[in-house]
Amino acid sequence: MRFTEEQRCLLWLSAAEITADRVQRLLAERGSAAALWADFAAGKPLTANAEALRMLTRYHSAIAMDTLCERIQKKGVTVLFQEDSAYPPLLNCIDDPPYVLYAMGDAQALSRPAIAVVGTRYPSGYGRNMARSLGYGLCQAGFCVVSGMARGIDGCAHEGAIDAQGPTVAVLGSGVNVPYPIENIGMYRKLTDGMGAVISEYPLDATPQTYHFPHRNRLISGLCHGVVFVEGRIKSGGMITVNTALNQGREVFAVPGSVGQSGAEGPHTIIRDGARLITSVEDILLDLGLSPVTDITQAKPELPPLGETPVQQAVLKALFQESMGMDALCKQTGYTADVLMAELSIMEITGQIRKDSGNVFAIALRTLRP
Amino acid sequence: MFVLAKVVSGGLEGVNGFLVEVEACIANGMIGFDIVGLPSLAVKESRDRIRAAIVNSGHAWPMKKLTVNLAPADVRKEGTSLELAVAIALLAAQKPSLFQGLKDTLLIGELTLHGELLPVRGVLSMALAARAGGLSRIVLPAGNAREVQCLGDIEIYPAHTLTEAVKHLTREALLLPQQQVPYEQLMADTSTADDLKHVKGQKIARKALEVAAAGGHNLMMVGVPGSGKTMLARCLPGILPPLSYEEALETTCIHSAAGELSREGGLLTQRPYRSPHHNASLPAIIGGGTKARPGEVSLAHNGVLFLDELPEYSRQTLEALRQPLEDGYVNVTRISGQARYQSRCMLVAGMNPCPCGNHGSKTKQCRCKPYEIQRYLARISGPLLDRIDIQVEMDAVSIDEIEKSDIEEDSATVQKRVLMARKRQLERYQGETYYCNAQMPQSAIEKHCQMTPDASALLHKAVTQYHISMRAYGRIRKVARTLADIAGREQLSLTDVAQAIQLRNLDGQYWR
Repeated sequence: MRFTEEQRCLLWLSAAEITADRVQRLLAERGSAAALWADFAAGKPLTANAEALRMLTRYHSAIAMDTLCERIQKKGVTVLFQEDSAYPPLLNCIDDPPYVLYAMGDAQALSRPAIAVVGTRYPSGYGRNMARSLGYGLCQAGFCVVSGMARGIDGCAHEGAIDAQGPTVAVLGSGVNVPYPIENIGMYRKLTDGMGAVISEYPLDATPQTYHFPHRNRLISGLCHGVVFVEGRIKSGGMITVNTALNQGREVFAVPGSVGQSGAEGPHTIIRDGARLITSVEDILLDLGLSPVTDITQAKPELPPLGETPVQQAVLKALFQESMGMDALCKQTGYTADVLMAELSIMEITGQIRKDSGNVFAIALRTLRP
Repeated sequence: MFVLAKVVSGGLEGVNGFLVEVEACIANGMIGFDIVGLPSLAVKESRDRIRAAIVNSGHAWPMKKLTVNLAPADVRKEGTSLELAVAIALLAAQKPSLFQGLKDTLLIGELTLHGELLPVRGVLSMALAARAGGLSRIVLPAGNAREVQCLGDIEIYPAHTLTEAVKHLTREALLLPQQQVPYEQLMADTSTADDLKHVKGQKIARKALEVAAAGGHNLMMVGVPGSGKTMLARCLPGILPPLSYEEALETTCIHSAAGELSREGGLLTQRPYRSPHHNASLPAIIGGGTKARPGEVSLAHNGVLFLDELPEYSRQTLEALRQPLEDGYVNVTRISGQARYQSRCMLVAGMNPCPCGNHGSKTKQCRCKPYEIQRYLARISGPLLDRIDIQVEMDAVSIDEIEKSDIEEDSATVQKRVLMARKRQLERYQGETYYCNAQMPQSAIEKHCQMTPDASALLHKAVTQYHISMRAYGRIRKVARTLADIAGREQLSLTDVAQAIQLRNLDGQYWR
């Protein structure tokens, strides 16, 4: 990838983390990034921020910029500029689109229609399951799932999407070369390795800063047709994303919770304010007008049993009603724990069920949506 | 003119008893009393006690030069077990004709100033040494009598005071011999308070406990506080095979040497259950200290060592546990001596799933960050985990489920299955150096753990899906071997392997 002179100057501005709206203003004032480069050499200040000034000075040389470009290429990072055809068109419509977008992984994922799934970092089990099944279902329906790769709801949405073979895109609050939070390194590898992409407007090796995250949330909503808020408080990152989505004119969906449950107040508040209440991927498709309207009063069809033996069928039937532990399963199915232990292992290995912490067995997502 | 007398007593080196020849010499010369032959400070100190006890028992104290020699002179003598023998030797040196049968009588006991006999540590070990050395009688403190009541072919005379012992040896008034009780009768008297029928729910953990008992596997239980880890662990001694006579002697020797035996307790007839707190020091767990005493891992010999809150133990202690678990003994070396203690115990470990303990709980919210959980789990090293064949998670049980639960199997029923499985293992491993599945070396797995084709296919699928390491693969096969032994199958069936995978479910979830 060769950069034009103008693009190199934009990378220079990006290396100093000059914000998108400031660059937009400067470009409107002075014409081009190359003009800014020349102005800087002539002693005209671009910013009052000491740290940004330091970085601008440091990279204000052909050699420094060459090294930077080489590093970008060596890391296999795709850099998208606003005039590129690969630059996500929806993102280009927002007020302050990033003038440089770094992407690691499959940049093609950005061309798919996308839906964001966001929420708290401390979700309930219900929130986790909803985020996973939404992530899974949205990918199945052909969407790209966008989120922030944070722990909690974000991670679960990505997980579900990865289960459905993607694509899914994580918008980071750090550089694309800096996986954060570190416990999601496995997910980061999967994303950069075929399941989608990790993108960021911050330079390659930028460390995560607290002020990055609210700012990057505008990209999550900006990339998408709609944002699903799964669980979160009234003052939370998820609410910021919801607000940016509203400002950008995107759809806002909310997953309802129980009244009084911590984390349910966020979605409930926006439902009262007019967000669409959704309980499944079908609801999202319906609201976006993307699929033929089905009779929603019709009960969900009972899935054909996947079990290969009578025991497995009994287990699936029981788990289909509700996730449960070993004791409850023994009572529901009438089989002894000895028999069930063996069958449950086999079913877990064949991917029909999954085991959550505390030995709670649940139907696997694949089984839910054959 | 020298007057000489010789009696036999016992000393303790580690847990092993040895015979000490106590010689007394009364000679003319400077008035004084000396003990030679590598006595420790406690033994030297006993001179004043012995003198007071002899005088207060109504005997004369010879105003001459008294020398007592302890042979063999190159082994250090610890403790107070020699005092009775020294006193008798001094008395016998004055009136040699009165005392009879001193050559084949073991004399053990600590004296008070009044001449009473106090119980001492390690009596069983000394008695065993006496039996091996061909002695036929033991005179010991009454407080120690129950400890040796099962020895059978040696006469035991418990005495309360020095006077009683002297009168017995001079045939003035004979002591009543201690009634010998057959081991079987002692066994029958014991009953366990902890029974599996009181454990509600936890079907997977129950099964894990049974399999652990049947194959001698170490066991790890991960669960929220109050999920019943401790209760299950306490039930383990009750489902293990009953303690055999030889095992009872071994275990009692260790407890006696450590001074852990209660006065009334006597011979241990139940497998020991030790649960040291996690702030216990390394010498307390492994053995050592200034006197090279046995540690908890040895006190649990032939029984169960339960370490609750495993990650809270110091890293050093956990790492030091590896050798005793692997070899079945601990070598403790200190300046004052070196000792080898047996430590063939089953390790049962309990731990919370995360630092706050609520991870996976139905009712409480876990607020630990994922990296905090990882750091918590990382305190347990891979090599230690490798020695724990079965690792299960506890069910998250809520109160209403417990009350609804039906009657559960009791320990006796489970123990029957365990005994059958142990019998099959003993038959299979005849002529080998190991006797249960847990001890089977890696090289023997291919030979003893043959799988049916469908079982093999399932295991391979699991290995690729959960990224199970080769070592974990071997452990799953060992556990499946035990499951097949319980079911009475020669080859490992699909059911056995599937259940074994269920009993190692933490591989994928916690330690990858």
